[in-house]
Amino acid sequence: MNNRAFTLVAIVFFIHNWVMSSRQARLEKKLEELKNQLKDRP
Amino acid sequence: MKPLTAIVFKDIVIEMRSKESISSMLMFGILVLVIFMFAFESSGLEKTVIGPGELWVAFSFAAILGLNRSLAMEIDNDCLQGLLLAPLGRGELYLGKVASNFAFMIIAEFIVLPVFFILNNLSFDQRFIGIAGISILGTLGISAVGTILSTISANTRMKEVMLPILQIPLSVPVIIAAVEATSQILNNEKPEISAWLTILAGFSIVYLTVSYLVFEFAVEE
Amino acid sequence: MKVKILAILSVITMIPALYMIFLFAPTEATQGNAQRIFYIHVPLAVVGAYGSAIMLFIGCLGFLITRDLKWDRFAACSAEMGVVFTAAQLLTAMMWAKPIWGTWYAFDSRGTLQIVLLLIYIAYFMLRSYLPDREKRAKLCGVFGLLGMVDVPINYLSIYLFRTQHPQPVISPGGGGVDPDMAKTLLMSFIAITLLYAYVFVRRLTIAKVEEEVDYLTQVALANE
Repeated sequence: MNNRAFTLVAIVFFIHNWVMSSRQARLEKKLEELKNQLKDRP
Repeated sequence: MKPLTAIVFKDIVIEMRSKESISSMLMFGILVLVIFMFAFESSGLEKTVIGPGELWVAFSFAAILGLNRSLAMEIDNDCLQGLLLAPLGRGELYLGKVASNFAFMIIAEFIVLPVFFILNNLSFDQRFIGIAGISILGTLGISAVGTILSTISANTRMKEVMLPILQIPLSVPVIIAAVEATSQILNNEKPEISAWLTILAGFSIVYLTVSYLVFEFAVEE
Repeated sequence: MKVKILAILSVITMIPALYMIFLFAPTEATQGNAQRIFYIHVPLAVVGAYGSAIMLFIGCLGFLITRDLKWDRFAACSAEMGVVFTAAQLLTAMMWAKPIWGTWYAFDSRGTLQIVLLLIYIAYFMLRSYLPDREKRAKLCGVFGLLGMVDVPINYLSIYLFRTQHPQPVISPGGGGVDPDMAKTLLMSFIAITLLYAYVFVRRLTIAKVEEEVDYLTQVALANE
């Protein structure tokens, strides 16, 4: 039971971290795109 | 005090004309009781054991049905603007809404309660009065927290879905205290319900105060 | 930068914490090895679930007083931390309760409070996603968060009363404070979990900022078209 509990907690945090980093990457890409798009306009 | 009664009066007039809120609450409450009766009929459990839970499931879900209507009605017809322009504080507006919601719920519950007694083969004695008293206190708590939450949920995209999600976790103390007090009265054991009644009253007081203070944030544009 | 420092610090403290939990701390007499779950369960509950509750309360109150959107971001991030940490903590509780109590979940005061707390955090989150307008979302979520966190002490009181009037079906866990080695281990895992919490929180906060910026720029781009 011990190792299962610790593994589960680790999995929870890894999934959350993974979701966060993919979200961050996506948002930063979008931010760059928007900035480029707006730079062309006066 | 006068604007407060005006709000209650307005809601009562609307309800007298449409009869939507009370009739839907009433029908839903009775349906829950009937479903519970069929579901537990074969289990052979003592009526007084499952009774309190049954009653409060019916009450709390019926209350959500009524609360959903009360503020959504104002927002759909843009009546909230008019209410906000009326010469009264936001807190008083909240208290008026709580009073009218409470009144409708109590009317519906006092019709559901005898049905509950009949379906469960209980005799109308002191227990009926005791349970009626508990339902007044519990309903006050539910309407205090439910009125402000229905104001919040009326602003969202899925009003009907959002209110139960917001309300059920917050009304857990009311349900626990009310079910426990009801079951002690139903079982005729030496009732030690003062602690539970204190929790019910305390919950209502805390939520009436906090909501009175923060209601202006919930309605302002 | 702050995020990287916190990440490194939490890894640095997590390794000795795990070492102390599994190898250094003495095995408890009655519960055996299962008691070791306790070292990670307690910090997760205290820092994760209750700490997030206090932070959510501060965030909502701060927003309603100052009307500064940074408090709303603070509240949103602490609610998300609440969901993750409370869920993780409930998992450890279940894994511990199965061999010791024989059930996954016993209706005791703290466990029930944690479940209600988790439901309130999730409700807060759903409310956020159903409100499209930024200002309105901050205001209404502030009100709901405040109401939800006022609920927590009343809830605890009622559940506590509920349990003490009935006989307790379970032995209360603990006895961790007796052995000094156990106390040291608990302290170490407290530090590790707090740093982990700080890291995840700060990281989530930066993402929330970027998200807001993207929203704003999208609106600007749409307005220009």
